[in-house]
Amino acid sequence: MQLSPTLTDSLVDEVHALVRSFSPNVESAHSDLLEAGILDSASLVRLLFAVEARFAVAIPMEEVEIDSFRTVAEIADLVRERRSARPARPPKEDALLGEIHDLFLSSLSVEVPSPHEDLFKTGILDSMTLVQLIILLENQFGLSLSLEDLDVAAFATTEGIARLVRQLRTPAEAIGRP
Amino acid sequence: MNIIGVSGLEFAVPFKKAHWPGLEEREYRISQGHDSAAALVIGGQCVAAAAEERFTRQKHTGAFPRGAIGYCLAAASLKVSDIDEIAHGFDYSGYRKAYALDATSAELYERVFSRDALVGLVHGEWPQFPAERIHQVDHHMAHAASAYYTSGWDECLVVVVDAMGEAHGASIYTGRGGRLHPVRRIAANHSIGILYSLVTLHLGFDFNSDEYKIMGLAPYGNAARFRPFFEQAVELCADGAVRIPLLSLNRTREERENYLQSRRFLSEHLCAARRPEGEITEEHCDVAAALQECLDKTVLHVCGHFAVQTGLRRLAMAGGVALNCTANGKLMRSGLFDAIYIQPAAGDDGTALGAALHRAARAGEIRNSRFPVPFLGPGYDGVEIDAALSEFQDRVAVVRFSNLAETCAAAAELIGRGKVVAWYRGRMEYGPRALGHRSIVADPADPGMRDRLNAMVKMREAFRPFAPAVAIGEVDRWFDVPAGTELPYMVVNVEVREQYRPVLPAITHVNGTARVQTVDPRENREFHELLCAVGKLSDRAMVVNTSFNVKGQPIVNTPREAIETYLNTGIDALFLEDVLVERRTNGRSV
Repeated sequence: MQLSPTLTDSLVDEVHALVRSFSPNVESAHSDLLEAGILDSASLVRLLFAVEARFAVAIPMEEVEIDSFRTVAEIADLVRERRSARPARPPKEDALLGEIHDLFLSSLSVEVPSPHEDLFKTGILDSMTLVQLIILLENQFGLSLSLEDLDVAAFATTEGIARLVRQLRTPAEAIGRP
Repeated sequence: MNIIGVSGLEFAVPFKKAHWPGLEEREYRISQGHDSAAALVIGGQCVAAAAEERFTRQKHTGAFPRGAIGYCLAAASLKVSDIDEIAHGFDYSGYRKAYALDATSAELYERVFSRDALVGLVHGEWPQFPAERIHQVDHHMAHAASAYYTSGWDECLVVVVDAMGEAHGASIYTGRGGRLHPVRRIAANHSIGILYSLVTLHLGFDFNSDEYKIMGLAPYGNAARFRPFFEQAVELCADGAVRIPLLSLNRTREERENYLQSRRFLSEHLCAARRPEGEITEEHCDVAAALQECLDKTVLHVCGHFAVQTGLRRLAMAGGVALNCTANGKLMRSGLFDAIYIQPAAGDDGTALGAALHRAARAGEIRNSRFPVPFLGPGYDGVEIDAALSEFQDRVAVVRFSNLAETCAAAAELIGRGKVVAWYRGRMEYGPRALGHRSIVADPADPGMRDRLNAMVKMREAFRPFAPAVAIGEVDRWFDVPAGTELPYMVVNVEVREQYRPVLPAITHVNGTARVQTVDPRENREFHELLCAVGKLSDRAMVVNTSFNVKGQPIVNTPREAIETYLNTGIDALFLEDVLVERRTNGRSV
């Protein structure tokens, strides 16, 4: 399954930025990195590691063809391919949900397949990652979350998390909180 | 109020051993609550503090600090019934529901982290202590309080960086008008401290313990080779935060507990894991160099960002990463701040002090003045020293001096002759460094001294550097700092002036730096007098100053431990206060 255009573009942009950190002269996502003389065997290996580290994907050396690394767009394709479960992207109109999915990807290195995915059952969240997620949500949305006042079940799906964030963002007086 | 602060989690390592049997001993240090300590704060001032390891003799012990509390009470002639509060430098209570998600974590919470576990430990010693007077303090808040309330500053930026607290890897606060306000907190799965510790483990050393050895190894390497790896692994975000995706590669509870996938990633993409007994190669040095460079940049990034955001020009720091002298030196030279204060017990032992100070601040009792050189541990009088000496009378000979001046003259004469001298006086230090009360000292100009100390005295790795203690009046003569620069806690690396590097081989690291301690007669009078006596003979009021212990052991506490350690090492002479102790060797002495 293909990712939505939005995510695809942001992924290409991220890869582009990464490749540019190796060589600032890569102008477009379709510039040929080999012809441009940017990639040789040593730099290929370095770029491969960088891609793996940044996107938390495994790209075994023996399986990589040099052609998969010819352009930024191809590298982005490879990253997409290597991510195991293909996500059903949350509806584009739900920006908050999208932001939460991006947070899982960028800060917990995990792509949540759908807004209904049970994060506890799939092991995406356990005690250790839930604690981390709460801090990430606090930072991202400027909230102060106290688990003691919350139902852990609210964190079971990204949909539920979005609902929670929306609630907590509502000015306190409107919902009668101190 | 009389407040006892404590640190450590007694059951953390036993729990890990029960649930993850068969790991290497050093892997059990991937856990929380090491470095137990106790600190007694009376009316907002710390009057006694010590690490529990000095009493149990188990280095870095996380055991409930029974010995240290007992010492603190005795030092102030108090009974437990005189104590108003006990404050612990961890507070997991907000995370109870998260830990309930799986059975192992739930048990970990109940047995190790919970308030019930803490109260149980207190009541195990003092069943009558009222439970409602036992308090928990957020770990990073305890670190922050330890730095802010001893900084002597009303207003400053406070940065805490360590491996992790309950859930955070770094926390940034502003201190203003006696209150700490959080500015930003970075989650532990983006902790630069954890990354540093994982690479430390990967290079064959101990997690949560040997990071300073990697710092010492780094100048032997070339950072360029592995710089791309760390530049990609650690992203410095525009909002002042840090992202380290490789710490989030772990997918199962098991993997997360021991960072198995993160370590596999290091094996595949950085270098092969080194066994502890393996040779240290150029590759390992290069990894250490790149890692240290990455840490330096990260600390500068975080501190620099929030300096600009808050407009504050003074920085107070604590947390284990704040003991990284190389990063501290970079910060000092960066020009980002007008002044930097590193609380000397910056590791978890310092959260005992911080927890107590945090509670004292709530009670409005803090008198924020700059922390003295932390001679807050036990001292022993002449009677106790004589009792210890009598135990060893068959093996040692003693010479008694009548005053400090004579003692210093005799010690300086031995140091001048190239002897290694153990210098034991007054109250033991709080924090990891020996600052002149439990020290081994020697001539910094002796070209063979570093190897001799490493091999014959400390019995440790040959690459490890030694630090100088210098009379403050001479600091700018030997080191590239302004006159009068105060570095009393030995936590900042500075440059040795180029022309003196060849003259000071025992304390000049391969990159020309030294982790200098300045000694001020107003704060550390007796040690200053020793340095002056050395200066009279050599025109250089400076010694090598290394902690009085051997590899793997805590610093000595009692006179008896001092004599035993002296007898079991290649130390040439021991000064116990004004008594010179030497081995009996067929009537000959050193």
